[in-house]
Amino acid sequence: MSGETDATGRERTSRPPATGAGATWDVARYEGRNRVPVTVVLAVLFSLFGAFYVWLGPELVAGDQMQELLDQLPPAMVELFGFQSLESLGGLLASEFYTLGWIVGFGGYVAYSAAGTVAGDLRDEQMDLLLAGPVARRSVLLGKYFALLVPILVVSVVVPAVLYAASVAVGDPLSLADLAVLHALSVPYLLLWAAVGLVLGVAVRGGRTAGRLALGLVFAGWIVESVIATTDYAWVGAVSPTRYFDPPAVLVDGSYDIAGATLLLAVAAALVGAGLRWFERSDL
Amino acid sequence: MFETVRYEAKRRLPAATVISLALSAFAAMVLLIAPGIIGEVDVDALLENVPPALVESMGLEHMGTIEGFLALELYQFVWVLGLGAYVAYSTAGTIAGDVEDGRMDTLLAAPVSRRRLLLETYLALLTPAVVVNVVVFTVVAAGTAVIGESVALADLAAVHALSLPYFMLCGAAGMLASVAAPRRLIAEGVAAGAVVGTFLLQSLTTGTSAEWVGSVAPMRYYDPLTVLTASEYDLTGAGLLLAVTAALLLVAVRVFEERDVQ
Repeated sequence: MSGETDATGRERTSRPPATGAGATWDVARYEGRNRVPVTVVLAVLFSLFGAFYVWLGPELVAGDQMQELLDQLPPAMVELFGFQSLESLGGLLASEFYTLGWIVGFGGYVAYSAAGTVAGDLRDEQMDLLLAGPVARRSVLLGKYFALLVPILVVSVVVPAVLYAASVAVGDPLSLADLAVLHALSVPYLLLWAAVGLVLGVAVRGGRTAGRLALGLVFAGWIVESVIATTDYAWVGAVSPTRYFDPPAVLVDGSYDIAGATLLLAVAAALVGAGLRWFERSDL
Repeated sequence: MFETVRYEAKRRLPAATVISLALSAFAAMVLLIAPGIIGEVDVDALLENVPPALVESMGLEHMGTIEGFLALELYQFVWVLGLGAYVAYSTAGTIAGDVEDGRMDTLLAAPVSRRRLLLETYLALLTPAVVVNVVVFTVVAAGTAVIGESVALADLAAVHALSLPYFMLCGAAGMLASVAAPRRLIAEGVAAGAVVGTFLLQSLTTGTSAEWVGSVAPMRYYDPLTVLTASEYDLTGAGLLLAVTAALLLVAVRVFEERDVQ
């Protein structure tokens, strides 16, 4: 670190650090801008994949025999993919696109980058610089957290729009209301994983380890929950966030688990609060 | 000789241990719940209504067996998707990471060629793949004996052995991303994304008119389900995976040799 930065840093910290919404917003804007390229890539990839599903949908959903078979398969196998229904396009999308793409893929990305944004700055010693500025620690962490809303919200708006347009184009329109609800309900789920990643980033200092741990948790949360969901041990799965976000229920049955989403939000808020406290007290 | 392999392999051991333990625990859990779930379903009665061609093509007659259950719950996702993506991701981080941290200058100052450095780093990355395979194989073999289900040991060994060419390919793809991408983060994202993307592509297109699209996916050439249920070993597929692995590594070496390292 150069002497110049040190000097300005000291000069600035002699004033009381800025707190509150303004500083948080500044950090969020800066970090959010950094996330724009990845957001574009994610939105394009998910859209292409989704469109591909919709395009091949008629071939995959046509078989009644397949549905009969599914009805009788061991529930654990059905659960793994959320294969409740392959009779409709919505069922197909819920089965693979949303289960793997959203619950595992997007959830993993959010948790990984939330962990990396804190742990990475700590490791690269960028955090010293950031905190030397007139910004409270609380604002830095909150700003980083809110910046994750950029990919979450943009992708959650673009993808359903593309899916709907594609489904209209192939003449088998999806329910716009269900799609909107599904994506609205996915936001608490993603925010929860972002919060888990944030806490891991603060707690585990070793740069990449935090991100990998977060990614592993998302994968485990999905696969363990789906394997035991239909057994006597199903109660264990209640700790998995996947339990509270159920794409097939929304797209096939049209039932919305508002209580589950609220629970996810509450836990996310609690985790962010814990992360803030820890971050404010810890020695960097 | 092989100092790089030894050094890098040692650095991977903690990760290999953690993954082995986690996957062993998961395998144990799958085995624990397997008998209850398999007992629930009468496969023969259920397949009466399904066209024989479909049954045969998908290996459905083995769905309700312990082999089929293991293949679907453990190998299809955890092995092919999870571990494959991990191998690609961690290989992608090696060279790109050393370049980014400025360690590559020091490494290349030593009397070692770039080709050698790349190939040794690659070999070291196979440590986790081998360790995890050996540990989980042992756990599954012992676990099936404990719950009193019998799985052909030869098939089980084949599932693990044939997964190695698959992981080698994932690693080679990660290596290419590592030397070609401008930054570590991009290399890791591209490598892991490629595994997840091709996995989705191949499972989506199977059985449709666009099936040929899925033939670019490495998962097409390693199918735990047929190995475990039908005892069919796709040796041609494994050979193809190895050939593509060699080709990818060659390209990676060339790219690395001609690249500026700052």
